[in-house]
Amino acid sequence: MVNSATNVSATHVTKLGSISNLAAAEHAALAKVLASLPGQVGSAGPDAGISAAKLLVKGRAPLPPRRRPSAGGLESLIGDDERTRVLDSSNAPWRMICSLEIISPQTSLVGTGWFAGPKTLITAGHCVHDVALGGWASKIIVRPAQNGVEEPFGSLVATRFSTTDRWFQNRDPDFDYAAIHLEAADALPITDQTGWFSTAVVNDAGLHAQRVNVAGYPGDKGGDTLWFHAKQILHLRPPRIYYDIDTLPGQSGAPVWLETDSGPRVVGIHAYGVGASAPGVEANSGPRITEAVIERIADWLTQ
Amino acid sequence: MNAPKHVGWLKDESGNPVAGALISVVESSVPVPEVATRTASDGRFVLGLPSGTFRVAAHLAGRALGETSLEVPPTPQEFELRIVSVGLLLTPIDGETG
Repeated sequence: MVNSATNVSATHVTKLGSISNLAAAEHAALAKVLASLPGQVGSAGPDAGISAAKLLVKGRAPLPPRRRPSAGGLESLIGDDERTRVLDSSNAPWRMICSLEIISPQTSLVGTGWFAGPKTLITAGHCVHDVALGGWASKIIVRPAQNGVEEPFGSLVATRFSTTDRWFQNRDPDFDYAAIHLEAADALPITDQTGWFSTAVVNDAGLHAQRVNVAGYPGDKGGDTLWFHAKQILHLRPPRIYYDIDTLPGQSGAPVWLETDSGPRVVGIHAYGVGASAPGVEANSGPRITEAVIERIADWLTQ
Repeated sequence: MNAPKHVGWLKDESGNPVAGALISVVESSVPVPEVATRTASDGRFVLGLPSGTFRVAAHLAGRALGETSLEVPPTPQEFELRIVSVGLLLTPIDGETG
């Protein structure tokens, strides 16, 4: 088992200057995909299920953010809980999302990951390495499209992981992402059916006020059922994306994706509740897919 | 972002350990990774939390067992969460963290 922390430089997406006051049409005109990794539609069943047609959203939604009722700390449920359970998780795109049972040296945890390639899952860095919990995970049990007791694609056990130096050494939330490496002989028969997500670097104009989709395995629901929510992006920083979407612990590592005419494009990796918000922003967040991130993922896909 | 290890035990009203429950931080004053921690057969669980104020919830098979507030100091601590009729009762435990 060779677990590794790999260096990621702090290069950023091309900035287009101050664009927050531009009209939606101007944002659209400046929108640009700067880089991408291709996804693949899996061979299992129909391309998209009933819930995908009902739930997934795309386009801009310049709505005011929802208000939180709490007078205390910052909650990961923003206002009323609007999450919806996905019952047909074996359909696209849900089947590319996996529950994670993480066995660490100190405890066991629940998280989420998503296929980025035929033998590679992407997740949050703290799902594979947390110095407070004894360092590297001992093993992670991956269950694609888990739906309660149903495991439509079985399960896989992983013992090889990678994360960034900045997470490994400094627990820097902006670099809190990782890869779970699967054995090809075990993974390929599954990912041939599930497919994997396309990953894309989109500039600020392209992401401004866009509605994004998040689905994962929250612990308050048992950590074994898939739950979904979609709302708009509220704030962007070069290494981070903030959104008005309800999540709870267990959803770390979930994909944050744009629905496009060409299919889903992952633009972020969910990792934190609103406690990690930028000043003045009440939003959940995660590392943003930048050119540096996509270069790192591309390297991980080869390992 | 420093986050010391804090050890807790989840017990039912009779003091018996509750295994297989998921412990989640649902409200926090500082950044917290969104993973849920599962209790072991003796009810033990570990949280890596920085100092701050948190609201912690326990669920078993998707059923809410209760919530409580948790003040976390900068140093490791041990505590017991006891399920009571109104939620969770938090009791700090003196001694070294295991």
